Amino acid sequence: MIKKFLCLLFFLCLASCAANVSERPLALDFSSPRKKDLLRQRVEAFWRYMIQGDLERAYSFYDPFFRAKMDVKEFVVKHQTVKYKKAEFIDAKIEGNIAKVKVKVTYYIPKIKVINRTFSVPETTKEFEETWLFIGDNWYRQYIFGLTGKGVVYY
Amino acid sequence: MFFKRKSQIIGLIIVLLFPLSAAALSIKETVHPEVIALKHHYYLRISPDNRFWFLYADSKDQLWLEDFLHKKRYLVNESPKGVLSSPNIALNDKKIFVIWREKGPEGKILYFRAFNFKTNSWEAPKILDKDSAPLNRNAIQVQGEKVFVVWYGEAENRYAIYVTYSLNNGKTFSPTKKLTPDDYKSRYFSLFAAEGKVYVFGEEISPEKRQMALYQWAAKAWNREMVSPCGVVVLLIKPFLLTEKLGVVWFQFGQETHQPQTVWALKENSIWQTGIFKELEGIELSGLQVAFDGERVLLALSGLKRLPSGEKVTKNDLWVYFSENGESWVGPLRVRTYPFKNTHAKKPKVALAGKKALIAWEDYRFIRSNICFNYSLDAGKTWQKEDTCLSRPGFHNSRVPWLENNLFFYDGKFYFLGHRFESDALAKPHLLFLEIEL
Repeated sequence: MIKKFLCLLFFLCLASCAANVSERPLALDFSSPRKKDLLRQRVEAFWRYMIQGDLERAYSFYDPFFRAKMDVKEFVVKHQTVKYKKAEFIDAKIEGNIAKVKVKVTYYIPKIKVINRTFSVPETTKEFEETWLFIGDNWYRQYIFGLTGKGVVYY
Repeated sequence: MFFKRKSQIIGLIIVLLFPLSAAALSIKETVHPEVIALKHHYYLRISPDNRFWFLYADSKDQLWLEDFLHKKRYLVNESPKGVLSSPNIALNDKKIFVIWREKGPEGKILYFRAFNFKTNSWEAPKILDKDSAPLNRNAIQVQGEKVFVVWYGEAENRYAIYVTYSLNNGKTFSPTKKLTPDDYKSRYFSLFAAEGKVYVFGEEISPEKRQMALYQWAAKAWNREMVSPCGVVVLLIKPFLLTEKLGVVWFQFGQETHQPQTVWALKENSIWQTGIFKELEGIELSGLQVAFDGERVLLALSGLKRLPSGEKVTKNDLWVYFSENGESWVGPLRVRTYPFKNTHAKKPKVALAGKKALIAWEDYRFIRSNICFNYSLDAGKTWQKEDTCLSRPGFHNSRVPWLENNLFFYDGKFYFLGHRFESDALAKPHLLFLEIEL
């Protein structure tokens, strides 16, 4: 009888532990390869859309606090100038739900007219660091305003 | 043979049951349907008849006293004559007392209203003061049928601390008295009532000096004494009481160094001793709360380091100190177990009930703000190795009030009132009521 009870208890506990492990939200997970893989997928997808000029899809990768302040139409209008040709995920350092991601991006600005003056930037390749935030159930790119160098999200 | 000895069986049961019992903190969350106005403080109070009372202002600046469990609410400011600010609340075993200020064509007016929770009826509102030009910081405390109200005002363009009191459960009040002497001005104060005594700690500023003063009420008079010279005090002044010893902790910028400091002072045998928390030098406090039960005092603080330019050097972090005598402090103790320093943790609230102590704070480790907890089962000496946050981390923006403690132990459980935003626009906050069981 005792033997049966203990066996039952043992399997119940195993089941409970397994459930706990599989249900542990990624937000609580600070170091799993799964979280890093997901980050890489998100970074690459974001830059793929930027290269394709699909700004509406790229917008959905930005942090939700920024998206609550600026709608997709305004975002598209404000981000049409720079064109992207190539982007490469170099490396990422994750601490908790914050990732510093190194990317190498090739971009250019085609000829545009600004107050009767023509302006352009030739094809340029730069390596830089961007911040990605794990919010809820996925990674989002932190939006940084060019003028202030600051974002919307407070953490 | 499966198990030969009883001890082996018991050991296995303990090992198997451990994962099931690891989550020892159970938290029930209730979001209130009303959108509140966060520019006003909101409060939780528990009356002796087991009712949970919320005081909050809605988005139309209507001030409500709500009997939360019975879903009944009572409008406080029925016919406002100006713009609402600084509501506050206290209660005894018969009545709930609410104060608030209105600024309108008739000037700045401090109002008082009593609610009898035996009959669920309001008394008529009273004007406590309008001559001192009351500003938007006040406090109310009750000792039996004595009600004390303190505020700071700016009559004749000079900041000062004012007080009035009632000895008959809020029916009539004494004339307003200015506590700050004529040759000083004051902005920050703390009203404290315990064991039948009432104290006001307040800064006093003159062109020559700055000092922390204590005003003690006795026999319908206020006695003033100097606690200690001080620096530039900023908002946070928290008194505490240990057996026969009155103490106070405050935050200041040092008089000569201009460096942020957290200072304690303790009165023993009529002499004030003071000290500085060395580990907190250079930390600009964003939160300070005390909990005490006569035998011990717990101090919960949050803060960050800044450059002289104002730029933040660190994120807000948390610290807890523990003392049994009010002068030697054990700490800083770590209660936040998140291993990185890349997100804010701030505005800690603390409650102490026998050997149980609970600390709650606003935490940004999930980017969307959460409320996290740690607890102690030895009155604050040691804390759990892992803290706990509200469920679905990263899906809600839950926060704690800035100055109000709102964390209470009552009838075997802890209760807390915070708020949660509807969305990431952070525009529509709702009260968030938490029932916490250790």
